[in-house]
Amino acid sequence: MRRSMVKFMKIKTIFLLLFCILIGLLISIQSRMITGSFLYISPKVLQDYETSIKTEKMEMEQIKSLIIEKQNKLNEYTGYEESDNILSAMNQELKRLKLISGFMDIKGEGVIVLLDDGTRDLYQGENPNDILVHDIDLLTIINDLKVAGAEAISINGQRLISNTEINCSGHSVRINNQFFAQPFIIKAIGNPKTLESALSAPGTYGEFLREYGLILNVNKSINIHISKYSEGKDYKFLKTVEEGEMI
Amino acid sequence: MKIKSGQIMIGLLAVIIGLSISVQIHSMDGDVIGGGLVPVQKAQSLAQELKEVRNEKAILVEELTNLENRIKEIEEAESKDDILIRNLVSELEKYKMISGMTDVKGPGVIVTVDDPPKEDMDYTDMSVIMYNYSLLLSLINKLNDAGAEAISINEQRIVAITEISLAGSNVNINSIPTAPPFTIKAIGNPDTLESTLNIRFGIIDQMRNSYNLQVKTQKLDEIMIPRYNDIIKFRYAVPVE
Repeated sequence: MRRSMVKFMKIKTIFLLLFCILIGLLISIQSRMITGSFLYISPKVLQDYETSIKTEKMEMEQIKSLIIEKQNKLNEYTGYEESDNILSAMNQELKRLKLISGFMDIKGEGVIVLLDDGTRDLYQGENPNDILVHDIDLLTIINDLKVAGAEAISINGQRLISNTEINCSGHSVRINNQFFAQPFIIKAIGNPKTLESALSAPGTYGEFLREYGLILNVNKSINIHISKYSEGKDYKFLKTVEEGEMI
Repeated sequence: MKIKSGQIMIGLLAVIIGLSISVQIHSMDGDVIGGGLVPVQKAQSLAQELKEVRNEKAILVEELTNLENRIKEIEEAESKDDILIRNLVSELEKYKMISGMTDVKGPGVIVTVDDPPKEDMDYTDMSVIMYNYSLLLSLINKLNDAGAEAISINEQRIVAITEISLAGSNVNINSIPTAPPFTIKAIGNPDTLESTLNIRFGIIDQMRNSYNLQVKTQKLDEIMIPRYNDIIKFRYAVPVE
């Protein structure tokens, strides 16, 4: 009886020892994980870093090309002594700015798109909104055209500039502060093939609208004329940032 | 008796080992997105690279500003004794502003749009706002409707040809890859802009309730919006004389 009691105590101490060693090991592993380079993070953080590096690098490329452009302009300015040439250089710059901001009539090849409400019968209990053209439809079509490289776009003769709004207000749509109703005729200048497939290829938003029953016709054309933004532009709130101010 | 006490000890050990293994596995399991963890060293090297790239960019931007200042100096010097050039300079300034080629400032709103909180997200890799980027189109359109005079998303100025497209794991704006959270800055009447967005059943309501996105709006007295950074070259469109 006494002997077995001693044996039991021995076993108990051995296990206690083992137990202590195990806990010690665990603690040391744990603390090694927390300190320094053994910390772990999720891959999302890495992805974010990679995206921002990619962004910065692309912006750098753009800035480099801008620098080359400005150097050329400076050469143009300093290359000539007479003010006549400066005048013509400035006129050219003004023309370029008007061209890219939509303040000049423009022509070229591209596509003409007709977008209209669907004419099919509604299903039982179907919402009529399903076959009507909404502002988001126009916005998405316009965006798809821009992704496909459209250089200038107009809807029903209204040139789209950076501040153009497309407001769906009941039966009509307001674009550049003027009211229009369907059908919508969208003209876009760019590579006709690319523009056409941006609206007609399977999986595009255009195809989706067509499946819903809306009318969407895309026609390629070799000579499209898009008129300029017809209103003046006065800014009430906007001011140019002066040199030296930090963004 | 003695066999039993040994068994208890072994049982106890087994439980502890099991626990420690499960803790270990749990910490390897990672987040919703991606799965698995990566050592922080890699992130540190990327952070370092990002810092270097940013420095390089700052140098380039400085060079660009210097060039622009010199051009401006020449224009101003010439315009002193020539009315024609003076008019031309002011016209140039106006169209630079319209076409988005200058940094601008003014009162307005800043809207931040971010994905739903992680615990609410389904187990998908896709970011909600990136997949539904047409919400951003809609938001920009509403801002324009409320009279915004200049807009940017994640520092990308919105100009006439700005596109928003989903490309892999990024959203490209002006063909520059960006990712959530999206910060939309708009200059205009802050009150009008803010209440147009926050109207009941409006765009922000829709973002919050239908898509569970985290949206914040903030009115500010002065916001700066950067210029468009690329050269726009038309290949198909020619001006009509």
